[in-house]
Amino acid sequence: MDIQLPQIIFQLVNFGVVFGAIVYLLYKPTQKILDERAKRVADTLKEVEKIEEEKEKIQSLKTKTKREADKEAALILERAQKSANVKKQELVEKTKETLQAEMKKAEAAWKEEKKQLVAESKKQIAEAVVEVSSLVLGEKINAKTDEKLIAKGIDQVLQNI
Amino acid sequence: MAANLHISISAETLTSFGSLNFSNSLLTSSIVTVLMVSFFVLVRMSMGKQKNGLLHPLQNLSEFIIEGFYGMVQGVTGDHKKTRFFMPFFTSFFLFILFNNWFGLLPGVGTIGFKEKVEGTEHAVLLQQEISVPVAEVQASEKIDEAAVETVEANEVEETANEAVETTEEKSVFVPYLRAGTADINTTLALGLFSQIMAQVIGIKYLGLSYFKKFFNFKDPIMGFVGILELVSEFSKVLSYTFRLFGNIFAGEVLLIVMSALIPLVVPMPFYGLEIFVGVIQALVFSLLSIVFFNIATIGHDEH
Repeated sequence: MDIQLPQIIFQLVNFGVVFGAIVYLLYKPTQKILDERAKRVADTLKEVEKIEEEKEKIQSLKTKTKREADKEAALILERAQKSANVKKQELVEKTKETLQAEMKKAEAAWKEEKKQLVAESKKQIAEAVVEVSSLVLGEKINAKTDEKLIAKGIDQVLQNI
Repeated sequence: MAANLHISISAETLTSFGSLNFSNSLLTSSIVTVLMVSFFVLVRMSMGKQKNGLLHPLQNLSEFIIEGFYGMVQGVTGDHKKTRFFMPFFTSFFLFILFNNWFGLLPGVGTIGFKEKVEGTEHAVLLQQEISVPVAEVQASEKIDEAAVETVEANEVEETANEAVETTEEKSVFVPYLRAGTADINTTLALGLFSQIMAQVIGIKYLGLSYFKKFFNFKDPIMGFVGILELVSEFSKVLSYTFRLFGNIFAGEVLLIVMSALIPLVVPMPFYGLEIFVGVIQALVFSLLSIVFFNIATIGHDEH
């Protein structure tokens, strides 16, 4: 084992060359690439986080808007229902009134018609009775008495109808 | 068979440039350095290029290495800033030691070389010395005029010694062209020194001059003694780095040489596998210990 200083220095130089080559050709460029990649990954992750936050914000806004819209829709519906009910009530009332008026009108018309019919019938029946009676009794009974009897007879007939 | 074994604890000199004896381990380290730098140039050139929409395989490899090492160093420091600072040291120690360890396992390393005459070298001198001892004893016995038989025996021994010296002078030793860089104590000492010097530099960088409080603390006698122990431990760390790595790798080489010499077929294979594993482990131990000591150097003595 002989230790020689020149050989030690030579080996130090050899190692120094390898050290320099490793630093400038291997370590620094590779580390730079790895750092850039790590930065890109970190940036992408940050961006994803940001997008996620934005998505959550939009989601919450959507939910809020939907809730508000639902609320408003319910309110409108309720208001519409109320208004429809009022209208319905009004219509019903109006219809009832119209109906009643119509019914009253119809009743009055009917009564009038009935009256007319009765009067007409009375007249026709009286004429018929007079005609028949005149045929039966001849000329013994005067016209005045006959009329009373005839009217009485007609009333009885009418009551029986 | 055993006569063909070539084991030398120190690296053999191939040529000399002034005071630098260029040994086979220096040649191996230089080759490893050139190969590593060339590979890193290729890796650098491959960066940013894509193949069928995929990253270049060399870039993938570099990312795999850097990310793997980053995790390991981060596990020791627990601080990303420190990890980033220590990473090049860890990577350099690990890869330099690993490839030097593994280069020693390649076919031809330690086995291809040349024969060098050992005339006048310490091998021959040692052999002469070993044999000259009995000769001197016998010459002394001649002077006191002992029995003729003994003189004859002495002459025979003298002749044998002379023959041995002549044979030694003609002998040559095998010098391999390549030897694992880390199987040379100069390499491991250089790495150990670098690591320990860097630990001191890092300590000063992080703590300023208060770093030296660790060694020179005169608050009380106990702390003063602890400081001395710390100072001694800094030097002993260099020795520990040096001999651990050198011992493991050199022992592995010896093991492989002996196994290959005893039974050259099949039997050395598991040992090669073992040495590949030892190469990784030793590289990891050296690099991790360096990072641990760097990290300790950044922590003030009061924080311990």
